[in-house]
Amino acid sequence: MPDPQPDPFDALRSPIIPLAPDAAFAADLRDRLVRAVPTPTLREPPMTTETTNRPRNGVRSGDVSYITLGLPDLTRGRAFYGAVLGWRFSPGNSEHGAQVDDIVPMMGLWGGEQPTGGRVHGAVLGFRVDDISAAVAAVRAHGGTINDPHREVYAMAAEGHDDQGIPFYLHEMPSAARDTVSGDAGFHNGEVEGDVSYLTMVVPDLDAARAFYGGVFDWTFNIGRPGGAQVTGVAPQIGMTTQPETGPATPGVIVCYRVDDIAAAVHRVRDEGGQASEVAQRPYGLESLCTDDQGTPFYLHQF
Amino acid sequence: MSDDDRDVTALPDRPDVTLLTLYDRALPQVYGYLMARCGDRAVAEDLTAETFLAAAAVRTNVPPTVGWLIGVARHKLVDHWRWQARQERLLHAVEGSSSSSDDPWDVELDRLHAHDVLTRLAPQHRAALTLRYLDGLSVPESATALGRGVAATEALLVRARREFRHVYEGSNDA
Repeated sequence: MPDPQPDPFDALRSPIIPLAPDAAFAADLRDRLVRAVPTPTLREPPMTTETTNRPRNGVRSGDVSYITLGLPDLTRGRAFYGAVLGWRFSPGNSEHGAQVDDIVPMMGLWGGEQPTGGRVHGAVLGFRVDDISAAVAAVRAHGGTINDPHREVYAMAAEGHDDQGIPFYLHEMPSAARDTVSGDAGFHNGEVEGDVSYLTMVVPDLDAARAFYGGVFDWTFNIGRPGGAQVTGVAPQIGMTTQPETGPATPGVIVCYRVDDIAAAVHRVRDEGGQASEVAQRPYGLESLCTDDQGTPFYLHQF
Repeated sequence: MSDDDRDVTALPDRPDVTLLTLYDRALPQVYGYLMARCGDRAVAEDLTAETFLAAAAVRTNVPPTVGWLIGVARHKLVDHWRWQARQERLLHAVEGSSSSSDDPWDVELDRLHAHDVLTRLAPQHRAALTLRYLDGLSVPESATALGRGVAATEALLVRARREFRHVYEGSNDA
């Protein structure tokens, strides 16, 4: 046998072929890892401005400081919004939550109970206030319900419902230098893809909502079409309506997201199991009403 | 998409990578590695979980990489087969083999059949052949992963190849 034989066993060489395991197994293992790994967000307040230097919690009292998107299934939410909007996530303070990296304002997906009990499918807004004790008193004076302020790792916080039952949070974040804050924070409609471009509050009674939010946050309004009102000077921009021109009239908050290429984004929504209306030209830009794969309504905007 | 097409095991990872940020990218690699070698979904899931949880327990400032996780997974696989071999040894003594020579074997292996044969070998033989041939480790590297000396590993490989050939040819004739 003088000829050097090729080793027949070389045929067994097996480069790694990636294989996705069962989704439930993957989600369960992630949860176990979140509990096992001490993460930076567990040690640092989540509500800090990131290296982008963009204010991510609003700048003025009444601005949106944080948005919690309550979803039935957190894992599916991460997959859907990651694919559609390019969101990347960091672990939240709980296994039920995931922080969205980098977008403005700060936002998190949440698959657990609300602080005041029950689950919400949809967005809950957090608002920054200069003085949370005064704000809590104002909420109660205007017919809302809210728990007492308590210290969270990121801020003094309180959670409640307005006088029509819509949930919201308060975060005490005093304006560092009130007089240096310009009248225009610059991020009213998002700067980059994935940012929040607009918030639509669907309320049963518009006059009651104006009285409540005007009374608590000193919001003022531009009255547009019948049944609608535009809040002036908040970031991101907020509109109130009893019935969106398109979209469901379920009381709560519908989030709008900015995208660079709405046609491509609409394809991604459909590819990921969501639904998207045909893109419509609006005075402010291109718009599509969508629902994610768990039935959560949202809008896409291309300006 | 293009990220997934690259050979991520070869890429140096960003310094701010943590096990959790790496998870989505690493999970299919680790699971794919284990599933292709043990061929059993429940075992692959168990070993995948053990791999990540063991990695989470490591306290280091060095950011994790997919390649490092595959190394952890390989150890978990060897541990699994070692445990399996111990269980089987309780049932029947492993037949001693006096011969330590390799007869040349001129054959072109049928990959599907070959992988099926692997699953029927004694666990310690399956482990040795997997590390040496499926993973392409050198004999000294295989020895390290197996926790044996190089000479003992050489001898183990001889016995493993012989058992493989015996089963491969026997089942071909059947």
